[in-house]
Amino acid sequence: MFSIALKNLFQDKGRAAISIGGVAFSVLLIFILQGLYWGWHEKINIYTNSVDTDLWVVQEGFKDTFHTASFLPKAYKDKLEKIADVKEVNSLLNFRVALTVKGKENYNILIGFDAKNGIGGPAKIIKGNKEPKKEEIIIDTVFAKKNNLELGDKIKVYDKDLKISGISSGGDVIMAQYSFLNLEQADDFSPQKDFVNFYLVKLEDQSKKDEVIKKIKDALPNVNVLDREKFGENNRKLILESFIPILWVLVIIGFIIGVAVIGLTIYTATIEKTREYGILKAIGATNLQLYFVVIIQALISAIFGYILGIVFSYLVSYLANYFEPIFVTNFREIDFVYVFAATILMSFFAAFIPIKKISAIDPAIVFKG
Amino acid sequence: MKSILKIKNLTKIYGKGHTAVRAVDNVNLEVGASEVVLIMGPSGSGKTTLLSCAGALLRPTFGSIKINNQEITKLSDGALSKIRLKNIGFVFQSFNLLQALTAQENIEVVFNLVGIKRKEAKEKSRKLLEKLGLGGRLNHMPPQLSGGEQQRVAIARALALDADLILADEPTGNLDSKTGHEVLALLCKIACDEKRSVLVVSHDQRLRDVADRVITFEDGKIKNEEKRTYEHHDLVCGMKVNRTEFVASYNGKTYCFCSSNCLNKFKISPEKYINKH
Repeated sequence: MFSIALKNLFQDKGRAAISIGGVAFSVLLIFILQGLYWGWHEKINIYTNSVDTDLWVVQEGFKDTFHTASFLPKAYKDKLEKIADVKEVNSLLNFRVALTVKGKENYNILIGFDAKNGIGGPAKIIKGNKEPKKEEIIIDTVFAKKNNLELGDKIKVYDKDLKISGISSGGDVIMAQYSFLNLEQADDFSPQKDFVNFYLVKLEDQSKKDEVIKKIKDALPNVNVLDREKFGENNRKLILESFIPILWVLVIIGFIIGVAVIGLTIYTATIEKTREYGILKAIGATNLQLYFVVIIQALISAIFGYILGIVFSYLVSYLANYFEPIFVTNFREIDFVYVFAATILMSFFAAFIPIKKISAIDPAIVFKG
Repeated sequence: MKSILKIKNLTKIYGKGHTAVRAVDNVNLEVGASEVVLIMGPSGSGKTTLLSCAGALLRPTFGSIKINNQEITKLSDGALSKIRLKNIGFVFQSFNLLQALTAQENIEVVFNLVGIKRKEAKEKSRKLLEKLGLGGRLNHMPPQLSGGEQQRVAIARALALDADLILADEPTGNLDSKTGHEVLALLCKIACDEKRSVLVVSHDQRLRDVADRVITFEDGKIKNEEKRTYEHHDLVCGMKVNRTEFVASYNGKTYCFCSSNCLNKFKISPEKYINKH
């Protein structure tokens, strides 16, 4: 019966191609959406994960770097340094600005960090200098590609021209990119001169983390202290909460397209072969054996479509990322399993209507001319 | 003679009330082993309905059908499928081969349906097709075969599981005269040599000459039944024949043949056919 299924499916090569192509398209859609989700999920924290700190001291009520702001008095730095088991304290400025490139404004996140020790600076420098001096700026490679910028080019921040001294990677958070200035330069642009946004605290002894957090909270009013994991998790939560509902709607649409395409092609193949199914029934095939033929056809379409869909996904992902760097995907091993399971499920749903049709075929059809 | 098919008081009514049609009306029929029964009659007389009921494809309204002494009218659909698979072989006017499969694969399907493994099924179907003279056509697709060859593939499929009852619906309807004759000879040979019962529905008058009984059907009823007797046996094709114009003498004995084709074959090597019988 397997060979009947195989030959029925490939007898009309055009229809087989539509069936397999339809599944491949659906797999592509589901897989790319999954890949984008996990790509963004990972991407959103590349910078914050790269910051060499044990604790983030933030204003009380601060949740994540995208939704809430944090302002801490500059005077807190000395107080933090005096707390026992605190090894090092670094200030970090973080605010949104419009960078003007060739007369066009671009939304960006400006980071002011201590360029001498590099803490809070870019995740990775791919071109130029990692220590921006006065009137210099490090921009992200995605921002550079989007605006066709190179080392030495100038961009305007407020009314000041800054020279690009470095190009970094890992500073793309989809809706904006990070740019980096030294702390003094960033302070010039800061709207709150007596404040910084975060303090990055390194510990003498990791085992005393909880103890130090408590001491900081006791010593400084209106602050919260987050460890690296919690800080990253808050940012990731944003992606999870914002994108998952949209993602699921699109994944379900992809799934329905897959079911519809396989279902339609298997259904038309079944209708076209009604007489042959009647012949098989007449010579003694049971309904179950005929269902098997239909299910195998749907499964073959699904498996070939899945393989093709995965290949297309990699191709589309590569090309899309090449032309639009914001398009970052991360294909996890487990997603191959999930998408395969979804594809198999698609084929079972798709086989349902043709199966109903087959059970209604009258074997006496064989006597009709 | 052992009864293979026994039909008693068979009635099939289509529709209800004023529109009801009695396609088969209280028919009794028995077909024995090795017997070739021909049902003739005008279109719409109920021949095909009778064949469908006998073939476990259609449930009768009333009456009983026994195949090898097993009552089939009350069986479930699944059980009827098994009866069709193991006890009945079908031969159709339009051959009804599966178009996506080769000649050999069309036979293999039947073996696969009873669970015979692929390799064994392949071997059995090859032997069967070779026996029917289609050894050189194993891998041909149905459209690549002539009408006669397609019908022989269909006959091979009907014989694959040694069914006792062969039901043939206009088996020569789509064939030219010569090929039709070859198919008839083949069906007769099967009935004679392999002790199978053959129930044929046809308009083809040539079939009268090979049937043991000819039943005339009209308005769903048996109008006439004629038992045929034969004096001779065509040694080449196995058909039963009466004295014909195709006669040959050998070693003082006279032999009759169904056609000039068989006569000529006999003349080339008479001992081959005499020794065979």
